[in-house]
Amino acid sequence: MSIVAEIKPTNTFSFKPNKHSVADFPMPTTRVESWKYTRVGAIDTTWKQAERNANPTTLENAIRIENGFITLPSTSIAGIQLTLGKDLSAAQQETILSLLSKENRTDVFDAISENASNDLVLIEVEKGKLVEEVLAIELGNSSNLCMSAPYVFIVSKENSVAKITVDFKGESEQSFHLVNVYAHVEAYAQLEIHQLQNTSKNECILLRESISQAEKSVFKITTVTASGTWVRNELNIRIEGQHCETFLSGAYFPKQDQLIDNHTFVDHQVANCYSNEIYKGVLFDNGKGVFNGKVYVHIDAQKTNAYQSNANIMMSDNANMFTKPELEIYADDVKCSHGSTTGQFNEEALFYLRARGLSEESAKRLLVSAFTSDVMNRISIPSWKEYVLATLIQNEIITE
Amino acid sequence: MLKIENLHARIEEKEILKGLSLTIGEGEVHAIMGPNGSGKSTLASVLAGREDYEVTEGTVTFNSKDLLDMAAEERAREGLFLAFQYPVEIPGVSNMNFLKAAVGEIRKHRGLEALTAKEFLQLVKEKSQLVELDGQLANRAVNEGFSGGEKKRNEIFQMAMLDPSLCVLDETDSGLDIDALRIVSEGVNAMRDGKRSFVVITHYQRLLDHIVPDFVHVLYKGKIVKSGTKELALELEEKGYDWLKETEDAK
Repeated sequence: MSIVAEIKPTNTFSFKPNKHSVADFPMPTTRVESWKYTRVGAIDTTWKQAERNANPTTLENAIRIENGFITLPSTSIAGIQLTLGKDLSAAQQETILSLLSKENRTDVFDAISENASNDLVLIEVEKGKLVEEVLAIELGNSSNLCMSAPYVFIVSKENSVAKITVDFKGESEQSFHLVNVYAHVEAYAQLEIHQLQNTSKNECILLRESISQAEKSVFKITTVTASGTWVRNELNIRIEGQHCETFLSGAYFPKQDQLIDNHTFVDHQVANCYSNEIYKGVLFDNGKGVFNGKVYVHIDAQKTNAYQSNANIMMSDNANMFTKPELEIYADDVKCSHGSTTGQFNEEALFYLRARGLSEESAKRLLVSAFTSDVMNRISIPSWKEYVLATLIQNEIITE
Repeated sequence: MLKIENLHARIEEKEILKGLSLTIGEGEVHAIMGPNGSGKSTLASVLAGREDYEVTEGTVTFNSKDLLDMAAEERAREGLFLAFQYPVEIPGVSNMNFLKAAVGEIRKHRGLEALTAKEFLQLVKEKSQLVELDGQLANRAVNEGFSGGEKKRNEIFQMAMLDPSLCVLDETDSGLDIDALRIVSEGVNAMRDGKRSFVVITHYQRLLDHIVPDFVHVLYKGKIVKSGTKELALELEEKGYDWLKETEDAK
């Protein structure tokens, strides 16, 4: 089993000593707890390592990642510095190595990404800059049956404010995105990432995000999976400085035989921080959803206030949802709560809406849109929210 | 307007309506009274199209169409409105968005042009005043956190917005204080225009002081056992239901 037919090592990480070897790691099986409900076998086809498109698309206002290769936008954004892997200074290489070293996990996908990575980009938000323009990132694979493995590194420097959108477009017939995002939010900085995954045409995604926060920083992320054959989002947030705020939210809508898996980990390492997590799922047909939300409160992380909620609605008898809140609390003066619900539609509400003239279908969509509204309301960029909602309308999930 | 003939309905295995017949003409107000468990709310549910109830016998004709053949939403679009005894709280759905969708569907069905945003807001303003509903309530989620009185006023507000030809009020007076009862009744009375018909289901006569009916029917054990004018309601108030029960049970 090997995900990729043959890995031709790339030189994206030529500056990294001690690269991991793929051969040293086994493929995770469903016997491994964190992969219990998500079969890797489903993506273990013969992907080809992605190659650079001869004529990559250049976008005016967005970073384009095509087949894992990165093209910077034609216009620059004041306050944000973008650097491709080949142009990194020695100091920037150090920054990247330090970001990578923060992630404790090393598994076969890390080894594959490291060795087969096509390209990387370093996004630096300048110190003290309030960037009003949104930095957009668009990912698409233009060749079929390819595996693309880009890295995105983000450093929000001290006291900066920035927003980034990430759009998985779903352009190929069948391909595999193995995407790594590493971000560090420095003291007093604020970073928001808003993501949409809409890969209806058999594209698979393994998105691994590794975030660290320094004192008094704010990090917010929303991940809406409108559609996706096989999607696994791993979001690890390490809170390293006091008085941080963290908001993580997601909504997922598996239809047909789709699988959408969200594994989140909020690591409260220090005292006086607040985290708030809401994930919502609506599962159709034979859709399968997985949510595993781990919150770890270290012994010194007193006065932590951590909230987590995962709620799901089953639209079909054949859909499956596997949800597991996982709280490990070692400090004794904290406020941590979690809730998890999985159920059917409120039939009374449905009847009430129909008794006022709404069709069953539009009543259902109205209820779905109400159910997920708390997640959608966390999308702070109006145009992006509109785009996400339009995508959900197009996918016949919600109504206008 | 509405003709119910020999209606039998059950929920699960329990037969609740056992041959109910009732004819309601244009512009008439009929009160349906009866002791608990007589089938009053079942009648409202069956008319509105709640699927838990199974009609085993009988017919219901609404504006010369077979009402029982229609889905709940079709009945609403044809002009039937049920004011719920227990209006449902729907967190996340704004009253306005929901009403906009409902008004849109109903106007489309009636072959009317869609309202512009301005016209819709004007209508909301006008109709919410009818039941003294605070503009704030219209912007909140459907019934969420509303008091009992606010929920019932919201029902009448929706009724006014949707402009039905037949209104079924299912124990709209339950849980209302004197002021709310007055406001709700005045809202209903303002909608009496000689064409619109009403079925007012209530346990107590009190509501009928405010909404004066043309006819009063007593429902007992799934059938109408006595019909009369508004004086019948007063008689029931005075004597209670027991004398009627006794007479009926003796038969």
